[in-house]
Amino acid sequence: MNQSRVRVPTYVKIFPRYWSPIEALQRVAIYMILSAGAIIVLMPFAWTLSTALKEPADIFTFPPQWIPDPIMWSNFPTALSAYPFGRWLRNTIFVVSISTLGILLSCSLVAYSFSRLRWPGRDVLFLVLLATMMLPGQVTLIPTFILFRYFGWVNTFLPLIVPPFFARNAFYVFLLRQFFMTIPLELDDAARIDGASYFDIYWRILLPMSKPALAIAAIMFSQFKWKEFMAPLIYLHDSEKFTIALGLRAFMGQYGPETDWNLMMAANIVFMIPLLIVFYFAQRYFIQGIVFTGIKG
Amino acid sequence: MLQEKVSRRSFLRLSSVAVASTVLAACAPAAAPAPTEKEQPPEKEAAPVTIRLIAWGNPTEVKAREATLGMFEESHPNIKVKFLHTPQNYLDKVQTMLAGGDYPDIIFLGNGDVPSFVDRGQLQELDPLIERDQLDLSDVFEMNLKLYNVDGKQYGFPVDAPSQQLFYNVTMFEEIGVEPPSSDWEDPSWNWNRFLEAARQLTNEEENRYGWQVKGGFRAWWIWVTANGGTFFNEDGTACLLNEPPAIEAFQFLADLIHVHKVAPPMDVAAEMGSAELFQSGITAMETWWPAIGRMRTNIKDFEWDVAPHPAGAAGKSCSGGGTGHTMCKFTKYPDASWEFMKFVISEPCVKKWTEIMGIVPPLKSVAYSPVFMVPDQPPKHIEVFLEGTAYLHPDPRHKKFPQARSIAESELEYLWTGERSAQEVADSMVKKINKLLQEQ
Repeated sequence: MNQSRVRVPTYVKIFPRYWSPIEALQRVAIYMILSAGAIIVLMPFAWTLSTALKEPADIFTFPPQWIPDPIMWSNFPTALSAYPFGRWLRNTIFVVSISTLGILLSCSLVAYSFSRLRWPGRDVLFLVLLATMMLPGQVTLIPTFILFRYFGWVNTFLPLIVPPFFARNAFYVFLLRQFFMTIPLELDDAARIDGASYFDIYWRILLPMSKPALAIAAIMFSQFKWKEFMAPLIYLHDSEKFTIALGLRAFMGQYGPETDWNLMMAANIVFMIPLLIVFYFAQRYFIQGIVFTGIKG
Repeated sequence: MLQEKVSRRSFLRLSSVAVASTVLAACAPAAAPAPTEKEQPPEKEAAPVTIRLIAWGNPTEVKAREATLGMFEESHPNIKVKFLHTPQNYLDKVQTMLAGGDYPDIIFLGNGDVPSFVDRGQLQELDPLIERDQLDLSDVFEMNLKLYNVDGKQYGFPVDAPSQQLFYNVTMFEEIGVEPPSSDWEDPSWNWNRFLEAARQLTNEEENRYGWQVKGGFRAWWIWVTANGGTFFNEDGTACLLNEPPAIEAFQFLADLIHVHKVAPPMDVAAEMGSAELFQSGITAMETWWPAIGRMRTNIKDFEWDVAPHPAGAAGKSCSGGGTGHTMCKFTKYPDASWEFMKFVISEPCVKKWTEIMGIVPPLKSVAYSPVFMVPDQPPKHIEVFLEGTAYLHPDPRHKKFPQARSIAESELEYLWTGERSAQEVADSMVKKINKLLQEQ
């Protein structure tokens, strides 16, 4: 079968030379709906951006003023110098990268066992694992806190970075298991004949073949970890150890009127940028992830 | 390629060894430093001890915190204070720490949370210590000190004495030619009728100008309910009385301001969150607000503003409020050092510093009537409204289930503010739900 195809430029796809009237109408309708959707989705972001550039008195003017007057660029330096954000950013990057590595290693190993090895009680245990996803965080909060205090890990990063090394998040085990199941078993057999151990099959066959699934898991988990609030709040006592998600909340007073909304939004925008960059480079995997989990889940 | 074939059993054995060794490796380095930090003998007060204070705070509060902690450490060289800054979900964190045995020594607490902490036995009773050190508390506003008193026992000291009062735009009153509210607590002529009349004259919908802004928060309407003689619970706390005529009249009066007299803008979320900004940007002429005077001074540049009591209802004038304070954890390992800190936070130098930075109403009369609070040449002109108002304070009802009851009341009232139901209907359904809550054990 001849696989080679002429690459069609995007503009040709959108505007074919000959439109039938129905096609043309369809396209106009689709683009209008999509544009309306995009505007609705972008509204909160636009509000964030506009608030970040306002004086406190202008934030809640009614009707909303979209273009601030005066434009307060100084909100950005003020917000960023209010707290040690450089340090918090380093903490966050440290926690996110180590724990993502942990999730990838441990969840894939467990998924390997659940998908490729046969042992008694495997499927029951898999159900038990899935059931842990149903446990609300509030139920396990205090017992886990006591456990980590017993280890002497409170006020360190360890409660945030060690559990991911133990396949703490059942969802990623599930995700990777489903992906592993789509890889033909014959590959394992071939590797076995060539003398590969179980670990070799995992490390040298399955992992390299599962890069898309691992990428999805990495992106989803690191995004979750970047935004994670409750665990850092409970386990980190010193403000030097805060992560960004905690620190951004430190603009809020206990009561609404005390909150520096403009500074908070300015800081939010700055720390949205890393996520935007990640999204830009990984959007292919993001979409795949949605398709993938959608079909398999 | 020669490779030993691994059986399933040996694989499992190997992997369990691997897992176990990672656990050990992960535990070992971290477990070691923990005891050195914790096992300082508490009785040796001469050696420097570190007590831990847990509190929330935005940048201004953090600044006030750092300044006062610096003062304390300077005057008490043997005690270091570590500030556990908790930006949000504060009570979740405090309760997790207490339940998990990781006890903070000083807990910053809203006065409404004090009874439930006392109920769980988590706070230290201070009376024996007050008596031992002959601590003179006569300078503290009585009503505010009492907020940290449960069943006659003192558990904490207030850091402020805030009460919600009526802020008004003097410039707008003058321009439209309306007689401003009286700042005299004793003046009965400033009543609901005069208030309504003023609000009517100030409102001009076309110019996006309103006399008033109705707020759904408990403390905002509690002023009107109590001014009219209403109460939340009956004497023994077994029933809710918000469906009695005084409360219903107050609710209906407020709702009518939106729907009948149209002197207040319809409620929506943004307005609720930012109602202070509505006032600050000159859209509403009068406003219930708590006394973050410092913020008002920086944010309001375009007009003159002042404070007054809310208008008198059938039962006279009223204000709501409460404030926050410091309490001492019962399980502290350093009771002496913690008590030193407690004495410091209610001392004049600390209160002065806190007031200077935060612009709040100080809990000490000596500081309140000094230039630190009554800053000359700075608005509001009648700042003493806050201080005289402490005598008219109707604090939040003291009941274990009040927080839940309050959120029931607030969410039921939404139907009133949006105009879907009358005050009578709302009050009846609210009382039914709250009474059910009270009967549950």
